[in-house]
Amino acid sequence: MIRKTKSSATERRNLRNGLLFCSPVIIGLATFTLYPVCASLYYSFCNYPMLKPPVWVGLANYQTLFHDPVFYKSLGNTAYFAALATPLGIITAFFMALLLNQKVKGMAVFRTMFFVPSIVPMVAGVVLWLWLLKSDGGLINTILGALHLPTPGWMSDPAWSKPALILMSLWGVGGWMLIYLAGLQDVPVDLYEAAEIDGASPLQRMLHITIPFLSPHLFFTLIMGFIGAMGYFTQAFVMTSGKGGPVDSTRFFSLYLFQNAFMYWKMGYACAMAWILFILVLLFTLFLFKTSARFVHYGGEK
Amino acid sequence: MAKTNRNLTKIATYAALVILGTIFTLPFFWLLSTSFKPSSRIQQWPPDILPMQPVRVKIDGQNREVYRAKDGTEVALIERLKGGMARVSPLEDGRAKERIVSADDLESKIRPGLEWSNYTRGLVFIPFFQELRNTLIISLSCVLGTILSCSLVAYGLCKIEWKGRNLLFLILLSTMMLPAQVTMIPVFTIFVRLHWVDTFLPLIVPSFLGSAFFIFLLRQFFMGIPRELSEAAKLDGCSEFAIYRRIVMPLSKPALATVSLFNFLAAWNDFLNPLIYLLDESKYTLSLGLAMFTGQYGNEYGMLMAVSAVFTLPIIVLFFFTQRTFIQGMTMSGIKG
Amino acid sequence: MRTSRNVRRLLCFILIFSLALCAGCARDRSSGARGAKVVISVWHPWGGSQKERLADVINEFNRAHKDIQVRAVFTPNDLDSNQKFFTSVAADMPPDATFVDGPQVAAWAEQGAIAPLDSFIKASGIKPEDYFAPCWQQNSYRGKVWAMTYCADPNFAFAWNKKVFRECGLDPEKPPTTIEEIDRMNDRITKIDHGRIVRIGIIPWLQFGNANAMFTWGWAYRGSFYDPKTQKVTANDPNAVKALEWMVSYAKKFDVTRINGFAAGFGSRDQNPFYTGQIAMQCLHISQLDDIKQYAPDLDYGLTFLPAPAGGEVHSSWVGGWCLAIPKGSKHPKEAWEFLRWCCRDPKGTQAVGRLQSLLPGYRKSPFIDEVRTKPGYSQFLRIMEQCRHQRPVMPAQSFYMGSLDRAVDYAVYGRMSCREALDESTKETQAELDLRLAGR
Repeated sequence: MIRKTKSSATERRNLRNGLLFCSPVIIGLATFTLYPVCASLYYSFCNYPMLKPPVWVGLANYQTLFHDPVFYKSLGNTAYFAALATPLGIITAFFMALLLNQKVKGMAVFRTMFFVPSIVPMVAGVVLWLWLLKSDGGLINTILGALHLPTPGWMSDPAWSKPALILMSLWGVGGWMLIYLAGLQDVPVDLYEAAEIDGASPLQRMLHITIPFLSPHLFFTLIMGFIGAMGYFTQAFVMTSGKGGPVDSTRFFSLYLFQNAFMYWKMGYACAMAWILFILVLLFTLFLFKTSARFVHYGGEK
Repeated sequence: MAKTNRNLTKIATYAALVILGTIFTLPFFWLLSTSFKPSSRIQQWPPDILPMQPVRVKIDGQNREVYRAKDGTEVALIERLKGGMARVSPLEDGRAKERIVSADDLESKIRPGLEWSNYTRGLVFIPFFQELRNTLIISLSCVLGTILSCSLVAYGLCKIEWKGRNLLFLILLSTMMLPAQVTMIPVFTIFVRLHWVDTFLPLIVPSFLGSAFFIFLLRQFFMGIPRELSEAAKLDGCSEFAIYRRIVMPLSKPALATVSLFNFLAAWNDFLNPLIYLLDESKYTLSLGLAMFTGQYGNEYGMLMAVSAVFTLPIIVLFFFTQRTFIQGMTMSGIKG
Repeated sequence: MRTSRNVRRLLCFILIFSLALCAGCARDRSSGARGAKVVISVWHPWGGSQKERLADVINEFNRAHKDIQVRAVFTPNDLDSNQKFFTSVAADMPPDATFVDGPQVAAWAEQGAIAPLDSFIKASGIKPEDYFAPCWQQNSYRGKVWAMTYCADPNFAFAWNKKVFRECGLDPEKPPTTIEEIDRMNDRITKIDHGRIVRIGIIPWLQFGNANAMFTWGWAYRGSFYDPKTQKVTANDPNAVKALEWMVSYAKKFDVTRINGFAAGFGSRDQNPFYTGQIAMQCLHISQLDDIKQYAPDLDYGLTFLPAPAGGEVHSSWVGGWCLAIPKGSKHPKEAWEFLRWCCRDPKGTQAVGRLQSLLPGYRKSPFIDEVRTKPGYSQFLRIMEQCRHQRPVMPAQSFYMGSLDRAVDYAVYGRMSCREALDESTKETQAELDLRLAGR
């Protein structure tokens, strides 16, 4: 492969154009992001009860954090959730997109049905799911019971509370499904036909054609899903009335962070937590980029 | 052989669609069902699947509820008495033949029916149309801002080769990794200094300055547009902006539509930001309005569900009619044989 | 191509239509102010069924005052109310007056979020004896008074389902008066059919959250939770442990992982199992009197005092409820004080609040109190209030303490810790937290 060497004039022009196109975000970062981020880093080295000025304490917050059992518990809960919800969500959305890509009558109706959960407001969604997940008499357990399957305690059982929340999150993957669906349209149909003629099974076709072509979008949802899952807590908070129960099984990292920031008046401690999360997520995201890069094929770039 | 296979596949597909589709819409169906229930039936156990109304009959000029008595006859409840007793009367013959029975033996007679008061009262309980207007202004402005800014930045991050673009991309992604709670107060302070608090500006302006999520999303889509197109245009003497405007953007309609939809939904459902930045109820958005149905001392479930349905249905309908836009492929002939 | 043009047309139409629709609409139900002298903003959490009633109270106030008008702003007290309030105070943009949850007063005072009211109180001639004792105590911290009681919630009345009693052969007019009677009746009532729960007598820890349940039964057992003189947390005092042990004894009667589906609570987003007859005995909050009329009008139930253990505190209760305070940096403290005074101490004002919102005023000499004596249901709550001796610990780590007790009960109920261990843990961690707060950090 011969690399075209660029002249410095081209490089300069590209730099100027690049910066110009990216100027909105550069301005935005400079005005609304830079100061708050630096402030939060500074606060992480302080005791900062929000309404009184911050007092420098050096690494004290971080030291306390490393000895805090709740820190580890909440991190564990979040890691559990991220590790399961993200891949399950991607797989679910992927198969749903495949399913919805068929040429079947009334597909418009089905697609809408699958997208509905993403639109229902969270307030209503939580009420509905609490009812669905009732361990005794909720719809899910009623159906499971009718099929003679075990009926877990869901939100009442520490072993099943996170799976319950993961299930609820799967219900909302309509957005990702839409992204995949859009991406599926760009997979050349003739490749499928050629593969079929060559005797490739549906599974092989999926593995060697669909997935590579969909890889940019799968990658996007992987990264976004992971980042989002690491910050997950709103639904859990509302479902458990802010407790993170039972027995701390749904006490996610961001929930503990929120408690420290706004309920225990320890904003400095919360900032320390935030920065640790940030570093962990950044490192893992970089890792994902490095490892997945060779699985991602961009159609337009060589 | 092949035909049977295809038919089987079709049936299997339909079955999967119907089953999954039901699962996915079930909660929304439940929302609708609850929205049509009167308060007295919302907390029934086991719950009514379809909305039910108590059957009523007019006796002595007053509406009385009908119950089934122990002996199977239908009676109208006149009044409840102490000690778990009740005065009931047969449905006809007026109150001449009324008697006293044990209330525990009475079974409520119900029939399917729609309670519209949750809708009529709900849309007045909160300043619905005012909040709708506010929400639309904010959401649509955000969509506009996002489309403009994120497409520009996404283009800059993938169609132009310049030093530092990967670094910028990484910085952008990192902004999503720091939990918002710790930057909330400093950000709020910035807006206070700008005198933007209690206006819509803090909710709208940031979308004109890009958002990492949508930039990343558009970048992935843009990378699927063949380089040959831009190179050919460059040979013709097009500037970057012209390529952006005339080639990349038109091809990206489905991606842009997707971004619009997501952004609109995010702004539509956003609760925390309007809560913090708006100090006047007349500026409140619908998500705040929905919160008004719940309280520490008693919730209005029926109205909450009704207004949520009104909140949600138009978007569902809109999605149904515009889905083709999202699903269209982006590439044109030349790639797809 | 045609499709996308149509789509664009459709979207344009929707945009224009909606803007046009809304342009003419200004259905403003919020109590507005028209040409008044001073407009003060009051942030309140009264949503749901109380929303319109609070609007009526505000209207009353506005009518009674020519020079002050109140602009009420709903700030949901859920995930975010703390965030909104603290963010605003930190940025020096607080409301003029704000509602604060009773147990939060000491913490907000310690943090400097609200201002002391002593000079106003003195000038208005208000005395501590004007209020129910626990209400006044809840608002007093470090020798100053930081809030005024808007409503006094006596927690809790004890309710029982008369119909279930009849079905189980129990006298519907004889509710339990002792813990032993609760146990006996519960065993009679609870019916579990092949692992499926049909009906339960009582679930002791599901009384508006674990922490509130712990306080309720803890005080009934003569436990104490905090010693203000020594500033020591005493959650593990032997009587409190006994109370928790009683609560946990029920966890062994049925599978704990199945019954939390019967959760009942404040602003419960769930079906209330007492309303549906699935739980026969339950602590009841004063706001549920109206709630039951709305959602379970056919419920045949009775109200009485909280049962006590042998040698325990008879007719035990503690006060909750909401208060009004003036935030630090309030731009109109004098007018805000007038709002506080009118709602919380003025005879007409407290009467309006009581009548319109069906709540008990903290001002014990309010004319509304006499009206309550003859109101069915509310009269029972008043009787409870008059014998009420407790309020939740008035100290700055109260929020933390509630969370800690909540977890302690959780761990004990799920059998992860013994009751003693759980409360020891709670005491230790809360004390540590409290010491930090008191050291000014």
